[in-house]
Amino acid sequence: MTRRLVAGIDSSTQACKVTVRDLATGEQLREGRAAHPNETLVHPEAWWQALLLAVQRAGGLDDVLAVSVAGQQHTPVFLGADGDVVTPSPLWNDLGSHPHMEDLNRELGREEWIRRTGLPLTLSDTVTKVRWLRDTHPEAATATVAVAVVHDWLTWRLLGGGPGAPDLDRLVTDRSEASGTGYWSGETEDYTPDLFAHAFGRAAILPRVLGPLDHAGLTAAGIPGIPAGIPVGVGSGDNAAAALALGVSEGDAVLSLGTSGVVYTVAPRPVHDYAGYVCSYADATGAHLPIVATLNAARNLELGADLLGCDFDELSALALAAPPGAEGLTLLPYFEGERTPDLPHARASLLHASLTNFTRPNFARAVIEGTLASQVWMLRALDAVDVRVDRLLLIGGAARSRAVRHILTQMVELPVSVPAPEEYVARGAAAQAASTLDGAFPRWSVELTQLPGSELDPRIAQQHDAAKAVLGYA
Amino acid sequence: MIPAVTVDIGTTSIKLGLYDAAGAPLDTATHPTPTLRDAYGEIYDVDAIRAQFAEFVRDLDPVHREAIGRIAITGVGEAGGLVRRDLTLASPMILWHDHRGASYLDRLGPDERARIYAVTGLPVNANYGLSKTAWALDDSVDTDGALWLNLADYLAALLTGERWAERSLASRTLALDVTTGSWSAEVAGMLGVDVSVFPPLQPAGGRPLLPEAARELGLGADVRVVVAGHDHMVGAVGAGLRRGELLNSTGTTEGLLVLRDAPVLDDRARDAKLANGLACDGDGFTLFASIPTGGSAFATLQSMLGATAAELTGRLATLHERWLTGELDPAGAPLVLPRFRGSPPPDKNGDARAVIASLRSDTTADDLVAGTFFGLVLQFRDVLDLFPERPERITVIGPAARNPLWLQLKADLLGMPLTVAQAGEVVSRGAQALASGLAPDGNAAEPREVHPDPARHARMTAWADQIAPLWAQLKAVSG
Repeated sequence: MTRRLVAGIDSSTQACKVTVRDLATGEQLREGRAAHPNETLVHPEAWWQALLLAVQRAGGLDDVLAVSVAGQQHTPVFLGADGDVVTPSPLWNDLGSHPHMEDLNRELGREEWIRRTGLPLTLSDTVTKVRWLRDTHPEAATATVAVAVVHDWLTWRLLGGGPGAPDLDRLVTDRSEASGTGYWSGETEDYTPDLFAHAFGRAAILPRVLGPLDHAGLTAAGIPGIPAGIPVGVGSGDNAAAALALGVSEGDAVLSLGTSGVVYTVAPRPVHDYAGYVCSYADATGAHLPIVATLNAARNLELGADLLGCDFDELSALALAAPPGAEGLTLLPYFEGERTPDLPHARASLLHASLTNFTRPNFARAVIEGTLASQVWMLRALDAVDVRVDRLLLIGGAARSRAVRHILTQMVELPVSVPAPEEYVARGAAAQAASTLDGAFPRWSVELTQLPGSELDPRIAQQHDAAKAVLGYA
Repeated sequence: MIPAVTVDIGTTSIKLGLYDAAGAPLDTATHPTPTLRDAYGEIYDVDAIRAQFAEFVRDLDPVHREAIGRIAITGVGEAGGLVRRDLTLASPMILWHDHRGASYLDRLGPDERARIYAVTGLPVNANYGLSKTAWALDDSVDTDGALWLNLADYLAALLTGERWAERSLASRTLALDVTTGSWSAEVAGMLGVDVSVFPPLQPAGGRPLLPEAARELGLGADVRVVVAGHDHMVGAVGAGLRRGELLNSTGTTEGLLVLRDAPVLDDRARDAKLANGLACDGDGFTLFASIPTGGSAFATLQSMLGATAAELTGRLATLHERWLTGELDPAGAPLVLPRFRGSPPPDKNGDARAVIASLRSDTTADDLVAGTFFGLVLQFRDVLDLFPERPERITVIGPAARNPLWLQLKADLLGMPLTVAQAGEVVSRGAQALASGLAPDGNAAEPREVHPDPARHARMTAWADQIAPLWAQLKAVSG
């Protein structure tokens, strides 16, 4: 019997991944990937070219029935009247928009943004990038007639939009992407045009927000490796796509240890965290996706291994040889500044080092404990807005570390499960592609391994709380 | 000079040496300082120390051994224990940095602490012998007639049969009136200690070696045993330190020492927790400050990075080259407050810990090494600024003398030249000079100069000014 195939595309910060899957089971049959530029200011054409290369490396999509795109949240693409990109895009993690975030908060009040959008405004949100463009590149701002985010723009390219094809009314997005812009309301499920205009100085065309099971349209002709006329799914932001692929439901929280650290769960209603940590995004199914994120996560482990001159396996073994709390050695891992807490200019600090505790095992342990303490702290932020968490799902590159898995179980009282290694964002996009064929999301099973529980060791969190307090970060 | 066997009991190692009449080393050996554990922590293994010494002497070339006229002993300042009349130990021989007697100091109020400084010239601290003595008297049995001896004094007692205290070591007990050079019943009494537990001060010229010890060691009957004194101060003698100069003695810790005609007992010195003492070579006085983390930072880094000593030395040489060529930027390194073993004056908190800030995603192991040495020299400057006057010259002895990066950073930050003793074991050479009753000869230390560079001095100063707020914050954070 011939398999029916769908394709999911994940245009992430670091690379574009294309996965071709069996519609019936979700099994991945082919994949291709292509790297993205390493900068935080990138011309979107690089993402389109990476997508085409990844499609080619996946063997092309001639045999697939539908495709959908997930992508890095927030990152804007500024489009001119001719359909061309006006200027390179600042990525969500580009720190240049910090003063613009401060301006917007000062002008309308931090709480007003939270009340209207559910977002404690961060430098990552699209609206701060829009203000950044207005203030730092006024000519480009003047030329901009539409603002999309990455997956919207890639979807539009698949539909035939682009330079010389300026049908900007065909720009579409989904609830999850719209909810990360800073000009969309979870209550009204609609844009807040006044907030966009406040940030940008005037209105612009914004992508039409589709429902979870809507179609974006059909692929255009003439795109290398991609057949014309197949359905394009609505697509979503990366976390929403992963949540969809993992089948996250209320009570499940996903802890993703990738470039950034992210904790999210599914909630029936938007939340408003006036403490300023939880971002109320929408998910890919019609519900909501409260998220807390740190800038620093898996790269901490790379740095730790580099400083110790070892590989990840040795870092893990060293960390497991040290006692909980690393004999007091405490790392606050803000190597690249931080957004939770809001410390864009901070750098990492190592505290309480002594002749006896400043050892390789303790340092390795401090790197992992520090990384996880930031993540676990985010669970407290969810609890503070009455979002229930009964179970943790640990994903991301750093989830492969034995030490990360074990130490996490010493830091939470929740059961922790590790889904089988997968490209869950691309898989979620493939599920959205599948929904265009069957009118419903597929029920693809997820292989989970529950980690053995450990006794909670509160010292670890206490050390980090105390370290943050003495440095004035609490 | 009188040919001598020297014994230098340090924190991490014991250096044994045989020096001839010209002051040249004929034989040397280094052993890890042997320790045991009791219920309260680490203590000296005195039997092992005695055995290491005896083995070294017995293994010497008989011709050389026959010429020996002195046994000169020096060591860490505040180690000690209670020694009975029969020279058995009534208490453990307690490490210099052991704080088991700290609770005895808790009862002291501000007035008593001020009075103790006025009398002894020392800030109240559990490193010094008095609180250990109080603890040992309460914790030990059969202490009748026992006297408190420093470790070096005890080794001398085992060789001479007599218990006395060398004057510079006595001035590290917190029980000696530094002005009169006599034991203070008033201060000892504040901790409930009868001053008679402290021994008479060592007579000039030491004491003769016991005949049975001479036979055991294969030494002549006319050998005399001299406790040269507190290691940092003996090092000052070995380096030929003069008034107006500062000795920077680098071992596990880093000591700063100047010679003076009178103790400095004013409020400023007290608040700075500077330690007055008796010089070991005459009637003079010393003013001293100790930075707990000195050369030990090298071993700490070595252990952390999993590097051999040669590998770390190679990294330091490369960093030194980069510093000289302007490629090493202090602002690019993490800021390291190197309190791995507690804080120096004026805080002097044994519980303080190191803090490393400004770690970035591109920080490398070399950056961490460089940052540690930038931090060490900043810390040195802080302590130097506590002294009443800037010295005319700084003389460096110890392992730092072989660390080009550390030396150059220090010279460049201070903007003043350093005199570096190239000869090994300056402390042992000082001990021989003291045991010989001779004036110090600074040239024996083979001094060389390390000069600051005006441009690098300006760069270091600008950097230090720039990070001053963060540096102050790290000090507050470190405890």
